[in-house]
Amino acid sequence: MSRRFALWLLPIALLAPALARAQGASETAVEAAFLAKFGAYVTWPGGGGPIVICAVGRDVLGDALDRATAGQQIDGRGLVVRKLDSVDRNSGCTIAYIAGSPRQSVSAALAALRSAPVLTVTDSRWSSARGMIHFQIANDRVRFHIDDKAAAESGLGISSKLLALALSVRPRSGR
Amino acid sequence: MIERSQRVPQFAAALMAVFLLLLGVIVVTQADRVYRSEQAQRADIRAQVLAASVTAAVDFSDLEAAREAIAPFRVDPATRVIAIYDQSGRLLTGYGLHGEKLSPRLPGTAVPSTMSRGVAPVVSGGKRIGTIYLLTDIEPLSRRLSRYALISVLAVMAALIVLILGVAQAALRRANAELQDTNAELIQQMAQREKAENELRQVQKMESIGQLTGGIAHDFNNMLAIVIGSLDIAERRFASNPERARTAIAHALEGANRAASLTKRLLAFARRSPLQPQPIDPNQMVSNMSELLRRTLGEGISIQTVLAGGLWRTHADPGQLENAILNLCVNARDAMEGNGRLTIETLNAHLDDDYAARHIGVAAGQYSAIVISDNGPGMPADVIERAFEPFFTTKSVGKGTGLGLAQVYGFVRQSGGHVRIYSEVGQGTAVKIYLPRYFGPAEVAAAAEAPAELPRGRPGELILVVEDEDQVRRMSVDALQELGYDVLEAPGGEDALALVQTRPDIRLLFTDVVMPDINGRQLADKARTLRPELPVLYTTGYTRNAVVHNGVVDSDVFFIPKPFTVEQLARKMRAVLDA
Ligand SMILES: Nc1ncnc2c1ncn2[C@@H]1O[C@H](COP(=O)(O)OP(=O)(O)OP(=O)(O)O)[C@@H](O)[C@H]1O
Ligand SMILES: [Mg+2]
Repeated sequence: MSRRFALWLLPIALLAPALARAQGASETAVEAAFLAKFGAYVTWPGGGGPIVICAVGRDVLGDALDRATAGQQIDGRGLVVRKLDSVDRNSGCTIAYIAGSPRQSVSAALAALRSAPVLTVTDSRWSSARGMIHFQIANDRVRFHIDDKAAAESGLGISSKLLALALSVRPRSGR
Repeated sequence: MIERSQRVPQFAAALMAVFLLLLGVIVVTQADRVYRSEQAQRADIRAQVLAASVTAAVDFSDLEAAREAIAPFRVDPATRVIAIYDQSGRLLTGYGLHGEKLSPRLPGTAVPSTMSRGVAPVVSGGKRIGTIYLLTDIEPLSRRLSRYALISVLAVMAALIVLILGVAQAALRRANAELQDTNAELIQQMAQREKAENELRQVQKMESIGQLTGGIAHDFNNMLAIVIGSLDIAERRFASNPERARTAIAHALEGANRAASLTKRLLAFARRSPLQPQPIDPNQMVSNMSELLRRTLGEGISIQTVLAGGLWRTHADPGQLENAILNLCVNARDAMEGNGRLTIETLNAHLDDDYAARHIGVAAGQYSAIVISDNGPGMPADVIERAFEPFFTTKSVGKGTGLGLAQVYGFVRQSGGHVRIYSEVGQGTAVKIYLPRYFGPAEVAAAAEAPAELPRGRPGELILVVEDEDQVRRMSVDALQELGYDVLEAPGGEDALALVQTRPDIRLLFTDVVMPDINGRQLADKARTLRPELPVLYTTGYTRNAVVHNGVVDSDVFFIPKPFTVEQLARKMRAVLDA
């Protein structure tokens, strides 16, 4: 019994270094990769056109976001990265990763985008104010909370597949 | 030949059996293939379901979530491997169950026969980001085959049945062929036997024909000897001793008469006698005959008559019946050698269906019977059997002709009756004549007493005699002239008709029936268109012709059978002319 147990543990053991490397490299890189993937699990009203990912405020991602999105497409839509000091509902963002800046705090940015069809993403490392998706490191892994209620108010739909991975979900009203 | 034809069904049956077995195998393998492809399809569908549910987990490298998502499939005991590989085919996570190992790289398409494989891509945002790989147990071959056991058993049984039937059929054919052979043999034997019987019958027939012709020749010869001898004497003594010549002629006449009566009896047996049936009271006939019998049988024979009261009348030719009774009485006398007791009895008899069924040619019904019995020596069975045959006699040559009982038989049969001999050696003989009961009106039996004088022609009674044979015509003409009639003669129909036209004083047409140009009946019909009231008297030796139907003379026709005596002719002429 113990031998067979050992046998199926073996592949996990082999995988472990790879996972450790991914996590250890940089949480920032992981977050950038996630940002590049969220588009596949979210639906926007209107839709169409490239997915514009805005890094708002301090430049915490560096070129990680550019690398993660380079040459990628989601269901035929191209990915475009923009870096902005501040944001409002006319900035043309599809996804806004808000790190905050002296000019516009995270909360201010979130308020500016309230009920606009923009997926707002925040990070527990930079603020306690939460966007629709709020990154948090748990057990050395990048995880996230989801505010489905806010998403619904902005007319966004978040796939249940994504909801299933969240640490917590604030359900949309009526759910 | 038979051997080969027997093998055909056996061969066919074997072929059929093989075919059935093959069919069974095909059905089973086909069913198995369908089952396997269904299983593979199911595995694919499961893989697809899994792929959909682990998309996000794979995409976001959340292996924990991925493991959780695929965990429920472990519950299925048939599952051997569930694994998720990344887009480059490296193992991400999974389970190997029941001792199955997880391959670190995505395995190829080769699968063990006891398992089926399901593969589905994990797709996110239109991009393949991984692969679900899954192996599930399918039923082992033995289990699968046992599911087809019913089909297999049915196929094997069908094959067996066909084989057995084939063998049975062959056996049946063989038996049939044997049966046919024996049957053919039997038919051949029957044919042979029938042929032998026919030959025997032919021989017997030839024997009796020989007897018949021999008998006729013998008797005729005797009679001709008398006639020729007597006429020879008459010719030579004609001038010198007229008295002697006259007796010689009388002898000749007697011989000729006997010859005539012989042919008459022959005709009677052949049932060709022209009968003139009339209502008869058999009691009266027997009574009328008693004097004749007493004289014929002699003093040694005592005659007893037992006549039934209320006896039914019958319908028959009285002359022939008289003849029959006489023949039977003479036979009795001969048997008793002149001494003994003869009984003539009459009675009503009802022959029932049972009796009719047991005796060929007898119709059930009411009969009046005449039984003539004697206390003579009786007849052995073989004599009874042949007694009715013409010319069968136990008497010495010249004494018996063997035609007596033949006449009785012929007459009775022709009259619709039935005759039987009852006899036992040492006890005596009884011969029973059954004649059908007559229901018609009574008629006065005319031929009772004959006047002694010959009735003669009256002056001016002109008779036309038509006859193609000169000698016979000559004789008729002579006889009529002797009886005092005026006579015209014609050798055929045409001359006769010419005479009928030119001589309205002809009182009677006396014509032969059978003539070469037109027959007597046609002649009479034509003559009657000229002279409707002209009476016609036919004569013939035959019976099967226009005048006599089935041996019975038409009632409106006058008829005198050939040969006839002057006396018979005289009476008939008067009867017709005075009618
Ligand atoms: N009453 C009888 N008793 C014993 N035998 C008889 C008697 N009647 C006939 N038979 C036998 O049957 C035979 C045939 O008889 P059938 O009258 O036909 O011929 P037949 O008497 O011999 O000759 P025919 O009658 O011409 O003189 C006789 O020869 C005789 O043997
Ligand atoms: Mg006789």
